[in-house]
Amino acid sequence: MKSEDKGFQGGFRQSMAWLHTWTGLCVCWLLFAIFLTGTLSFYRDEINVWMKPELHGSQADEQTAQRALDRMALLAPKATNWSIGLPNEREPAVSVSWREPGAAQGRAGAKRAMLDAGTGEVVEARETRGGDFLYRFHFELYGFDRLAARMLVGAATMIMLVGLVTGVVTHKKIFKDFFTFRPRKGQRSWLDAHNATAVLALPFHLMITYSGLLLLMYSLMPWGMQAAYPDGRDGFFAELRGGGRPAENAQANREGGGREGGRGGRREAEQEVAVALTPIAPLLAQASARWGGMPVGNINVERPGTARAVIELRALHGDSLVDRGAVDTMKFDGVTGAPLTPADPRTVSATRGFYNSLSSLHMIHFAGPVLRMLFFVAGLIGTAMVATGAVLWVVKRAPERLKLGHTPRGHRLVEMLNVAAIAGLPLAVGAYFWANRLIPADMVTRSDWEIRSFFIVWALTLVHAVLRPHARAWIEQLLLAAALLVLAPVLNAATSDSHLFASLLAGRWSLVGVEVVQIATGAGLGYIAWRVARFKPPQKASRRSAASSSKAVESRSRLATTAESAS
Amino acid sequence: MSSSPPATTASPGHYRLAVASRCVAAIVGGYVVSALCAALLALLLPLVRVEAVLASTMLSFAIYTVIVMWAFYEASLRRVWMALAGASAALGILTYLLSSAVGAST
Repeated sequence: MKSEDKGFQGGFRQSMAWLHTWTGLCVCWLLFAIFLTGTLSFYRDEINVWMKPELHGSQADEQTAQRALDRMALLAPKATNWSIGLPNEREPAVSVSWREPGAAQGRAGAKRAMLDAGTGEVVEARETRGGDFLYRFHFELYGFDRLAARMLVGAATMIMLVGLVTGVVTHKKIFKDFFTFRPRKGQRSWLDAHNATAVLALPFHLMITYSGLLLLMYSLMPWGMQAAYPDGRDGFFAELRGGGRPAENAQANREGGGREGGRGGRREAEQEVAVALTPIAPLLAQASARWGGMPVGNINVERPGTARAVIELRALHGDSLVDRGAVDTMKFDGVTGAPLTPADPRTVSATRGFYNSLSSLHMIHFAGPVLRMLFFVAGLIGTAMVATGAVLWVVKRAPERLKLGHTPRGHRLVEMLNVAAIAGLPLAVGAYFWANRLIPADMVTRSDWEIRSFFIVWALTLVHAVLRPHARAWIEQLLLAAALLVLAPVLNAATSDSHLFASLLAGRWSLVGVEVVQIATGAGLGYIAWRVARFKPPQKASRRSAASSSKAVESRSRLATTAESAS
Repeated sequence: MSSSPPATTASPGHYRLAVASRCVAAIVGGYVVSALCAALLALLLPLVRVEAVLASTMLSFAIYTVIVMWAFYEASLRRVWMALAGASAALGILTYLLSSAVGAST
């Protein structure tokens, strides 16, 4: 397409194609990393569990909640608050946290532990950031100033939005193109693969990109709130939080008034005689019945062990998008078990509903297993779209290279970065999983070393991509990544008490899912490596590297399909 | 990394400079105009204040996208700069007047 090089001198479609090409190239590697780690974050909880093999044996039953409460009475009898996350289909163990009297506000003041759901014993799981690292990385990167990193990711997301819109308007026959795939036709195939992955999940791509911007919008675009509020951000958030939940505020005030204010009340609590909590099972049954069978996800106990204990039950997830995944709650008197006045139903305005719906969609606050899997597959397709786009840039310039008789430095740079991003990142993720099992479980700062392993391996993939011939670099990195991922379940079996077949028999689907996807992804990467290796360059040697890299990406889009059918 | 120079204009250096100028206009100018739109609409939209801020901020990204696309479509670079500067000035003055009016009334 020679007209593309005319840039804005040409017509609308030409200038948009130009913009699409160059904005895409600027951020494709960062976007690939954001897309891939973000997609993995849909299974953040499952990855967390996989990376803590000490929790794999935990098996919940009807007594689990009572067992956890009994254990808390031993662990933290003086605490001002207990929070108990019950096991669910995604997490097998009980996660508890509590606050000792006088503890600091916020997350810092909370103590945490994991309990075995079957025995109630504290499990000393290895220290790891697990899937949370991948999740944080996808919008805050790592080791940068948090705000600066969010701005950078936000800018890349903004460019992604421009890339999507310009990509759509560039294609006159976008739906016809979708049904066109011309395999083994060099550049045409990459264009077709790029189009197909883009169109196949276009609503998802637009939603995830725009909602990603909305999640970062208070940092990216604070000018609306600065203009409308004399005290800017603070004033806005005070009104946003206060205005949305009149019912809850009123209730908090009522409770506060009843015991002469919060702080005085707590001091009083320290001197109170210990009073046992009411049995939890009847309360769980009541709450679940009222929520139409939705299980209880979280038990929160205020002032446990005192006569004024209050038990708050929270549903596992929300049933509506518009209130941002807000979940139903029920409060009970902690000693008598009598239900306390329920909060009035929340009302949500259209604007806020729109914002909440999009941000909940992005974070899938609500999704069941099928929807989660669809999002995961759509995320993989998006990742493949970015990858095919990056390789298409190189492939498209193969004729130009052929004419020049040598590879311009810029082209070579893009090639190397493509290898290190597209093959290197899955390799680094594989290495992260391996580091999780190979670093001794009791080593100090082991979670830092897991993350360091990830970055060291990722940096090495760039060095490797620079040193090796282009096609070899693709093949070697893809093969190594494939080996690490396919063998990760074997490593798990060798280094922990659980293995894939045991998980299958015990119905631990979160573990089964992680390992099946590891194997499927590894197999997919291996297949791509094989395709690249088998590829015969059609013409001169100078064309070879570009053409083989394009093969890689064609197969990469198959990876999405492989993972889809396997998971 | 540049593409081959357009057939119509002068030297590659000139072309690169023009592209750089257009990028700055689109990125910086586009951001300024959409930020001012967010500010002005937050004051103007006939909604509760919180809602108006939310709506205008969400809208600003769509505005930004359109401005960037237009900045690369418009043939005359001069017109791109003029329009962005003009829009910034107009929106800026309006926002300033409105916010001082709002500030005085509260």
